[in-house]
Amino acid sequence: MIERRQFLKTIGISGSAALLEQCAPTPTDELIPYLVAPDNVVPGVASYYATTCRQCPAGCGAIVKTMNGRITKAEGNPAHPISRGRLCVRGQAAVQSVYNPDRFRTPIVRDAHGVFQPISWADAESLLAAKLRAAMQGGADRVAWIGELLTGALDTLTSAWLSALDSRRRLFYETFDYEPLVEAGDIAFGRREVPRYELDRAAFIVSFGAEFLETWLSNVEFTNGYARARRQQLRDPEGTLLVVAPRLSLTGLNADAWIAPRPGSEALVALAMAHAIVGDGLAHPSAGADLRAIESAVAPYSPERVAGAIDVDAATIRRMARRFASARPSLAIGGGVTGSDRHAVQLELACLLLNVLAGNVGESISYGAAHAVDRLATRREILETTRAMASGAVDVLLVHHANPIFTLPPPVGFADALARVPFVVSFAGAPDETTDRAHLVLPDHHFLESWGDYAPRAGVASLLQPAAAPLFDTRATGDVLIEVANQITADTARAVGSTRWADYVRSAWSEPTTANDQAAAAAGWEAALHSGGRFEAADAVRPTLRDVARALVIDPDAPAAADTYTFIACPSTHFYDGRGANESWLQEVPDPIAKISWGDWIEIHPDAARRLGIVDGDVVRVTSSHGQIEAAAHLYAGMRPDVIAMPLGYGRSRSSRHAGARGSNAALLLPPEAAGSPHAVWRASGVRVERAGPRRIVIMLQAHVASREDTSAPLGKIVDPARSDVREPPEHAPVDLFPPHEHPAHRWGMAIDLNSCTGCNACVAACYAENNVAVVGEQFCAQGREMSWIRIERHAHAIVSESGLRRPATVFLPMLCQHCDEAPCEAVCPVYATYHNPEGLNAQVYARCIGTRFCSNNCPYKVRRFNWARIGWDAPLGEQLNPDVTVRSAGVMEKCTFCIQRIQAAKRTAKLDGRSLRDGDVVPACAQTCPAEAIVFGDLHDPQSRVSRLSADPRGYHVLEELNTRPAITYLRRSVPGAPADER
Amino acid sequence: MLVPSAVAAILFARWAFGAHPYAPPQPIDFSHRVHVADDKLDCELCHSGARRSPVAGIAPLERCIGCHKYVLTPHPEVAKLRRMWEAGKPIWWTRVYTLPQFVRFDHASHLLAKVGCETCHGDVASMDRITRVVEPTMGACVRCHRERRAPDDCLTCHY
Repeated sequence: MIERRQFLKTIGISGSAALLEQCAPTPTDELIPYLVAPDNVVPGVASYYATTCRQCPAGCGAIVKTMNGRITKAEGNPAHPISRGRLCVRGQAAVQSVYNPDRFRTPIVRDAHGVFQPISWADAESLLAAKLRAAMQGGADRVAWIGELLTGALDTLTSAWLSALDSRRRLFYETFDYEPLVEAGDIAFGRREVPRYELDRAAFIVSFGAEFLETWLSNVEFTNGYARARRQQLRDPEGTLLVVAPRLSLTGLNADAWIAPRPGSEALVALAMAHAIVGDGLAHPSAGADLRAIESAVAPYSPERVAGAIDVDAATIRRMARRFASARPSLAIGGGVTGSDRHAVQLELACLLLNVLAGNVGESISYGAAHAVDRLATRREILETTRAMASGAVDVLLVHHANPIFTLPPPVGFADALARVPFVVSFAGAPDETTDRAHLVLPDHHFLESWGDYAPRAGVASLLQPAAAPLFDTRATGDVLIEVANQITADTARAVGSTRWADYVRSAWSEPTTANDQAAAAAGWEAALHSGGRFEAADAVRPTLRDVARALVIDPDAPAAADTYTFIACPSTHFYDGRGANESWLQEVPDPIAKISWGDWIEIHPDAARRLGIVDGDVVRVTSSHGQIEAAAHLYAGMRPDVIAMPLGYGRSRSSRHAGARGSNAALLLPPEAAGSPHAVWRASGVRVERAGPRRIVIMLQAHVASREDTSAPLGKIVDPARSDVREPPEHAPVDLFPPHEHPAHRWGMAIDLNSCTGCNACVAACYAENNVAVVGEQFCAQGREMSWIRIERHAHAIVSESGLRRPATVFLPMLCQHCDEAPCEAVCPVYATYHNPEGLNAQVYARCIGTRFCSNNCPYKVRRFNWARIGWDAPLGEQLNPDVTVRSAGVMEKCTFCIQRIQAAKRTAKLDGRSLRDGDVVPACAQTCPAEAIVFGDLHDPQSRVSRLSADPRGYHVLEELNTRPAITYLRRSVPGAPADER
Repeated sequence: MLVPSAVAAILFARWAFGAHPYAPPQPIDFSHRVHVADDKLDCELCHSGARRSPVAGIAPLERCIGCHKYVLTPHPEVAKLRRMWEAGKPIWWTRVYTLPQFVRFDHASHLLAKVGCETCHGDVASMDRITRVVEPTMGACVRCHRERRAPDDCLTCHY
């Protein structure tokens, strides 16, 4: 028998033995030095490489951080004119796609049973060479290339390569093209190109559906420009942005005013505005010469006459026209998915006329930008190549970083046509719907592992350089093409040459003028590699308006009332066209509009839902004449009741782990081309909507923050522009029971300008990348166990709308740990794991935390996250982890640290440089990437710091001020025309 | 059953923290005494990151061979080194000083604050095989930080 006391003693000793064991040295711990140390690499110190983001055709400059040869983070390149040091949510997720567990490890080929088997590069290349040789003998144009948009070296190489193979079939295919805009430029000015938009120069912007804050053309550049314009127009009683669209995209939710015309009548709205400007004599003097021509062109479209067709009253049109004409300069942008119907070209034309009338041409909009997207294949060319493939005219099809099987609407017939091609080769890095149907896959390096160049527009020659060695046995497509050409025939070898791809890029880069001077060329190359490319101002062209009247003809009268719905397939802010769907950050971070993660949804207006007997979450079936899809209903008031919308990018095939078989593909409902005008169309009219099944679980991550029944005032506050400079006494005087904390050296703080924040989620993805935030997956998200340290809350204010003009009045509020001076979490921690540090940070010590979760329970902001399980990372995703940040284990609480690792690194750098910290030395990941520059971080002790000055702004307030928590984060109210005074 | 495990624990504790400091065998019997005391080599010749990086680093094999191509070539341990170099294999040294992954330690800041290598690593000039003479425990860190009035906030090391 052991006595109780004895038992406890023994247990105590053996318990400490168990503890001691954990402190013992683990013999498996090893130190492995380099064999030969690489130049300029200091172990433990990050190396940075300037390159170009190729997640979409915008071509943002990126700076990639690598630690010990692994890519850990991508940030914008401040020297780059497109990204201006910022990246969007998709750009942030690029690093995750490098370590995508589904990436191809080797080339693969189909065996006799049609099953993919690994193949060596030598065998794969000789197989391709043999197939191409046979195709060449069959005649001209037997080889086709469909691939991502190329400029520079790979453009030159593929062009020379295909002509050596006697083929002219090369299509640069992008899901979202700008064909109507290019066409309108041709008709109006004789310039087949996309104009350059400079949003930061505009005092008032009208967007006819263009989603320029999320996906359209160049979203980082436009978000930055728009936010700058917005800050300049802070006090303008009419605001900065008017959106004319049947459904509010993220851009729409950021608008100050919204006109929701009948779907398909956007062009009439623009023409009516032009009519009003001409009729009321508001045209800018610079339009003088063209005035008469425009007047006759827009004569049939008076606001009163088209009011029935557009479903907007004439007074609203006239008011907005007056506003548009009086702002100098203003800017009209057409396009996007909602305007893509048979009148898409007319819409773009009407926008160009508006810009001419308001004197914007040469100010906020200009020509001569030579955008890369001007080179995109037209829908007509795609249909033509598809027909050629179907008729057996193509023997070898090469698909290069494009996924037309998924992104083209099925009625185009691409899948059937591809099945008729005897040999399909894909250069994709990871499996997709197109590689599933290929015969040979020759995986290219990821773009962050590649050499290359890309010029998104004139004056911006951007370089790609490898930030890390290729992870798998992949090969640069350039090298494959060169090698294969050397194997086909002596002629093809001669035409393509035998320079290796990396040298090919370099020789293509050297300017002809400096080519003779070796030293200057080398210095120029080094400088370009360092800065990310060569950036210079491009000359703008002043175009002259042609006769547009003939191209403008639209029936101005109201269509017969049809009791049907129009379906809009919208680009996804996260997935773009679906290409980002396998990046788990993009799946887990909730969509900025719907706040839904890990799943798809169909947006239905609450009135329509009531009529159809559908409640939130019901499975809904939408049927068009081309197909049918099912998904959970999501009630969304930001659209017309006769519109149904769904994001693209869901419904990917099973071949990838995160995207696979998740939801339905909205493209299934779309027609192959617009009726009577052959270009891509992203909406289908006359669709049928019905309830198809009971409620399905929709993971909506904001639901636990603001329930629908919640009637309290939104946390994201607004102010009328007229009152934005008025300082009013705080509603709640702080109460002090204890002496305040002392902050001897620094008091870190943050200011977030809600007037600039667009809710784009870039900060959220940046935080995942920087702070090793775990992706918990679908089931945990459904249980409310997501780990994000920062989230974007969407708060909508109800503002009385004036007839046809509505106010979206939406505030996007980035919510993160407020680092309160009187933090409720600190007081309840039984083990001092969370405490107030001398620099004002609310610290969380993981090693001390025992997981009582009292802190989270007591946090009014709900920003603390508990590790319910050890989640881990599918290999090789863990290679991306930031070695400067602890990976938290199960049972531990975590939350935003204000990027303490960056604070410490900045202090260390300053110390090593022998100076004190300067304002701007510490930039947390969220503030760094914010395309709108809405987040500013710094020392509140320094009265001259940007954060101190912003925190003292009259618009500043603290969230839940009445709780006396004294947060270190000051939010600046959003300026919303018509905001009630009692909002303060 | 419980009593023997308690005894084992005490013996283990004495081994870990007591009479026998940790000095694991290394793949090559490298002598710090010879290199530092006899040859008067500077620490940073091999641990070149110490002043500019959080980690001090270990000499790449190339650096060892740089001298040992000519110096002491017949020595069996140098021959071992040469064989590894020729085979293109790095040396997997056994770590002597290990910190848990939730601790950040920065060599550069400590050297800048004039905390010499010997403060934590002992008098390596007198050691043939590296021995852990200072236990890298939080107690040792905090004691030293307090003595020198260095920051002792948790977030200095834990994040």
